[in-house]
Amino acid sequence: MTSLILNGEQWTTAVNPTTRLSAALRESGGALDVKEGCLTGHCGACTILLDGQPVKSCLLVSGQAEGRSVISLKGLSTDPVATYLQESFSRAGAVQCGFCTPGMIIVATALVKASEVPLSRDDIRAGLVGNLCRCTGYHKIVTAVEEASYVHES
Amino acid sequence: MARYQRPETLRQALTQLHDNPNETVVMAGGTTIVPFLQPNDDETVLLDIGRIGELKNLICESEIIIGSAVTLKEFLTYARKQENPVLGALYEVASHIADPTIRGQATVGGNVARGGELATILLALDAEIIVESLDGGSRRIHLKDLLLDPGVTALGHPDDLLIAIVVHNQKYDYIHYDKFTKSHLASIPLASVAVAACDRDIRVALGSHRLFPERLSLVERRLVERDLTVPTGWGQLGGLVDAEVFALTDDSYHNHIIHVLLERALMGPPSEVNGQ
Ligand SMILES: Cc1cc2nc3c(=O)[nH]c(=O)nc-3n(C[C@H](O)[C@H](O)[C@H](O)COP(=O)(O)OP(=O)(O)OC[C@H]3O[C@@H](n4cnc5c(N)ncnc54)[C@H](O)[C@@H]3O)c2cc1C
Ligand code: FES
Ligand code: FES
Repeated sequence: MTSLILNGEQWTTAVNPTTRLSAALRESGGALDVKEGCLTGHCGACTILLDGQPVKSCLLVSGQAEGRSVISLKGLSTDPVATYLQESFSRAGAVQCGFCTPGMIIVATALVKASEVPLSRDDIRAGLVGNLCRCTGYHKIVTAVEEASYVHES
Repeated sequence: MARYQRPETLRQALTQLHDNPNETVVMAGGTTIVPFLQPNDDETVLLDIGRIGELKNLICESEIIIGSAVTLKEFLTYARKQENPVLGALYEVASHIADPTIRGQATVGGNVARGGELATILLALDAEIIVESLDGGSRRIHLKDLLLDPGVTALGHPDDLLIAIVVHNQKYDYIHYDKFTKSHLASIPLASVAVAACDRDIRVALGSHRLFPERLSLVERRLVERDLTVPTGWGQLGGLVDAEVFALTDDSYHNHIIHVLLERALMGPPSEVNGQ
C-alpha cells in the first residue's frame, strides 16, 4: 500500500511499494503521460515532479514517494509556465513523435521557474542533459525553452 | 517481489540489518539499485534509509562531515555557500555526476559505497568513513582501507551501514580531478583520476575501471622522491604509471585513457604541483 498526492489529489495504490514509481503511476494511477523509455535513468521520458523537484520516476520505487506530492505533466495543465512551454514547443517545431515531450516540459518548467534571469542556451542544454530526444536534434527544444524563459522573466 | 522498509531512525535501520543481514539491501537514493530489482525476488528486503535525519548531517569545521543520505543536490547547495577549497574540489566533481534530476535523488553515501566518482576524489583527499552496526558499534575506516579484496569492500559486511564521510579540512597545494566518459558528460566515466598534494604528501587515485577506486602507491612514492621544483619530463614516471596501471587492468584501450589522464594530472603546470 502506498499513499501519495498525485496531481493535487490523494491517491492510494495497493501495488507493492518496491514497484517502480513510473509503472505504478501508469498502470495503477492511469498517468499515461508518464512515459517509460529506457528504465535505466538515461532518457528522462519518465520525469515527474516529486515535492516540486524533477526526478526520474523509473529510478524510484513507489514506497519512496509515500506521503509526498507527485506531479505529472497533466498536473501542470493550469501552470502558466508549463502552458507557455507547450505553446512555444509547438511554435518552434520542438515536438515530433512527442515521446520525450512530457519529460522535457516537466524539466523545462522547473528550470525556467528556478532561474531569476533569462536562461542562456548553455544553461538550457545543461539543465536538459538528462532528457534525450531521438527526433528533433535538440536545437528547437532549446529555442522553445529560451523563448519561455525570456517571457517568464520579462 | 521484494519487501520494503523505511525506518525513521538509525537505530531501526541498524536493527533490521542486524536481524536480517543476508536478505537486506540498503537503498539510499536508489539510482543504481532500482533498475536491477527483480519482480520475482521474494527474499530481499529493501531498506530505504533516504529519510533518516541522522544520516543527513553537513558540517564544515576542522573536519568536513557529510552524512551518507545527503543527496548530491543538497551537498552542492551546501558546498556552494561555504567558500572552502576542499568543499570546492568536491563540488566540482559532484556537479558533473549524472544529470541534475539524478543529482536530486542520488546520495553521497550511495556514490561512495559503490565506488563512484566521489570515492575517487575522496581517496586522494585521504578521507575516512564512519560505519556502524549494532554489534560492532561506530567505527572510522580510512577510505583506502575499504577495499579488502578486489570487489569486496568493508561494507561487504552485511550489517554495516555507512553513516558519514569525513575529510580533513586542511590546505592543499594542488587538487586535480579529471575523467573520461564515452558518450555525453552525464554518464559514468570509463576512467577518472584524482590527485591531491600537500607539502610532499602526494596522493594519486584512479577510479571507475574496477569496482572500487584505488591509490597508485608506486607512483605516489616516486612523486615524493622527485624534486617537484624541477620540471622533468614524463619519461620514467610514465613507464612506472603504465606498469602500475597494467597490474590493475590489462585492457589496452583503458590503459591508454588512464595514461593520458594521469599525464595531464601529474605533468600539469609545475607551479601547481609544487604550490609556488
Ligand atoms: C543515468 C545514470 C548516470 C550516472 N552517472 C554517474 C556518474 O556520472 N558518476 C558516478 O559516479 N555515478 C553515476 N551514476 C551512478 C549513481 O547514480 C551514483 O553513484 C549515485 O550517487 C548513487 O547513489 P544512490 O543514493 O542512488 O545509491 P543507491 O542506488 O541507493 O545505492 C548504491 C549502493 O550503495 C549501497 N549503499 C547506499 N547507501 C549506503 C549506506 N549508507 N550504507 C551502506 N551501503 C549503502 C547500496 O546498497 C548500493 O549497493 C549514474 C547512474 C545513472 C542511473
Ligand atoms: S524511462 Fe526513466 S529515464 Fe528513461
Ligand atoms: S520528439 Fe521524438 S523523442 Fe523527442
